[in-house]
This record gives sequence, C-alpha cells and structure tokens, in this order.
Amino acid sequence: MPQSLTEDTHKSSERGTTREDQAVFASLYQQYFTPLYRYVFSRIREREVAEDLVQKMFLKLYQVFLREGASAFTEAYLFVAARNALTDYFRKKKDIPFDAQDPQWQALPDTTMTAERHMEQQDRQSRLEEALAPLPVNEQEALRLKFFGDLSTGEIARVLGASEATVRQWQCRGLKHLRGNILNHSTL
Amino acid sequence: MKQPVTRITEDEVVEYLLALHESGASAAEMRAYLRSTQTEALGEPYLKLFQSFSDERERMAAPEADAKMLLSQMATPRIVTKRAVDRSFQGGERTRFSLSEVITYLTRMVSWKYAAPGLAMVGVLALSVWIFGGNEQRKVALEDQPLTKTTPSGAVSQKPTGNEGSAPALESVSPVPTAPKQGSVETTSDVESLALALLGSEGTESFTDEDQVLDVSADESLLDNDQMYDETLF
Repeated sequence: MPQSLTEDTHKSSERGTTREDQAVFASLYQQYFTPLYRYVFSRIREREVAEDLVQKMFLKLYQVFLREGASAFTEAYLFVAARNALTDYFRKKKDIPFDAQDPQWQALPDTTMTAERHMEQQDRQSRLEEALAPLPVNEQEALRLKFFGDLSTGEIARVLGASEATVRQWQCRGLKHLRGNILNHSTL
Repeated sequence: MKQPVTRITEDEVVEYLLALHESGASAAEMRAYLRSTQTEALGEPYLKLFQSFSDERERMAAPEADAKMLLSQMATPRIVTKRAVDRSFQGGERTRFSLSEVITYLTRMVSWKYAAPGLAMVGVLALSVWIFGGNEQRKVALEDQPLTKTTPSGAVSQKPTGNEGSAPALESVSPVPTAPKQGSVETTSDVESLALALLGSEGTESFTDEDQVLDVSADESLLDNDQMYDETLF
C-alpha cells in the first residue's frame, strides 16, 4: 500500500518537472490566490496563518493538477478545498475565538486615509465582524463567499451544495440579520 | 433601469440590490435604482453594508501571490523512497508505524554484538534464581516437616509369646489406621471404623519448634520455688 502510493508520487514528481505544467499551475495560483486568501482570512483573522493555509492547499492540489489537469480546477472546486482546509485547521486548533482587539486585526496600516477615517473604518469593520459572527453558518458562508471570495451565486451554490434559489435566500436573510445585529449596537 | 413599482417589499429591494451587486453595478447605480423606486429608506442601510464589505476587502490586503516562491517550494527535492520505514528515518513525512515497520526497526537495531552479552546476563540471572530459589524451597520444606512420635495409647502391644525374656519389640504404627480387613473383622460397621480412626489419631502428637520453648510464666509451682530462695534462709 505505501509502496504504490510513493511510486505514484514519484511518477507525479517526474511529470511535474515539465515547465508547461508549472506555468499553467502558476497562472492558476495567481488567479485564485487572492479571493481564496480573503475568504480564509475572513474565517481565521490571522494574516500569516491564512497565507500559509492557502499556500499549503495549493501545494497539495499540485498533485491533483498533475493527475487531472487544469480542467479540474474550477472556482467551486478550489473553494471547497479551502473549506476543507479550514475544517482541518479548526479541528486541530479547536478554539480560535475572534478578538476584535487583537493586534493582528488592528495593525494593518492604510497610509492613504486620515486618522479619523481610519478609526471610523476600524470601528465599522469590527462591528461588521461582530454582527456577522452570530449569523447561521449557511448565511455567513453565503455572504463570505460572495463578498470576500468573489463567487457568483451559481458557484456558491456548488460550493455549499445547495440550489441557487436557496443561496439567494441565505444571502437575503443574512443581510437582513446583519443589518438587524448592527442596528442593535448602533446606527451603521 | 427598472420602472418604479408601487409597493416594493424589503426582501425585493435586498434581492435586487444583490443582483445588481453581482452584475458589477456601482454604488451610484444602486442608489439610482433606489431613488427611482422610492425605496431609499429601505435600501440605504444595505448599501452601507455593501460598503462595509468592500472596506473589509481592502483592509484584508491580500499578500501578493508569489507563484515563483510556490514553484520553488514544489521544486525542493523530497526524499521519496519505496519503503515508508525508510522515509520516516530520512526525515521525510512522518507516518504512523505499522507492526511490520516496528519489527523491521527492531531487527535493524538488534545485533549480536549487543545481544550476546545481554543473553549471557539473562542466563546468569536465571541460573542464580534457580539455585537460590531451590535452596530456599528445600529449607522451608525441612522446617515445615512434622515430627511424629508413637505413644503407648496408639501402639498395639503384642501379646506375650513364648519368648518372654527378650525385649519387647516396639512397633510403630501409622497414625491413621488402615481399615480392617473384611475377612478378619466381619461385623465391624462403618461407624466403628470411623471411631477406630479417631482413636488412632489421638495416639500421635506433632512437635514444632515452638513447642520446644518452655513457657514458665504460667507455672505456679515454679513461682513457689522462687519464694523458697529467701535470703533469711541463708
């Protein structure tokens, strides 16, 4: 059993040395890295961890790419892989509570903004996250995949394994809940 | 743009705004829609929510997707061997060892250079345990063995025969008498044989080391004797 697996890996490694394959994979990586990173970051809230998770995911997917080619790499497939990677991550590290006061969350400078605008934005974003957290998981996921993953409704439906109508409903309800949660704290 | 509708619910506004967002409409276009449908009050909070998400995306500041670095990581030579046990030894990916791998590992580590002295030591240990253990057992057996002594009540005296002058031969009998032979005592019942057995057992006494120590504390006559040694008498 391990023998055949390692032999397979070895053959794949030999195949993977072709420059053409590498170039195609590099273009896929550049195309999808940012939306995947944003989606993962929105769940983890740690820059380095999110970056590392997405890179490792691509390293694993490289073997799939060599076996099945670029056609297997749809957006839905990549986001499903990212969700699985997140599930593994949370399983290993069970409690990662979101802390709005975390320095990681605070220390992202934006030199183009005034201090007042920066503080206002920080406040709004932390409130957004606080309002997003208590939402049902499906609604959260539908919104995160839409706004951070840049996925269309059809792709979100494939990722979450639901119909497009259901996803639209989740998004609509999620936005209404989000608005209600923010209004409970203060006016947006 | 969609024509103004008389009564538009909040759900319809949100759905339409979501559809506009997905199609890539700008915030200004969405506001125009709200104005045209006179649903600004309903829709404005959602536009602010969209703006919040947009700000959040900017804030995330995704690092540059460095494909070269990823490719260099993939190009790093990895030790790929046919045997999982080798792979774990050579610092590759760790695997959970199976029984066969553990056995392989142990057989590699064991050599006669270490095994021979080890076996010799085990042999010496076993031999010493056997010798001393045997001696101890023998000692215990000797200490526990009861001393038997025949008593007159238990002895069956022989009737005087014609050789009266010779010393009577002392016959030692077994503490448990044998059952009487059917031919010699025909009328003996089971109850009688049991009574005989009990009588026979009374005739034996066993002595242990404890019995050899004389307990004088309870002997009153000895105490009386002590009183006789009065200094006034001398």
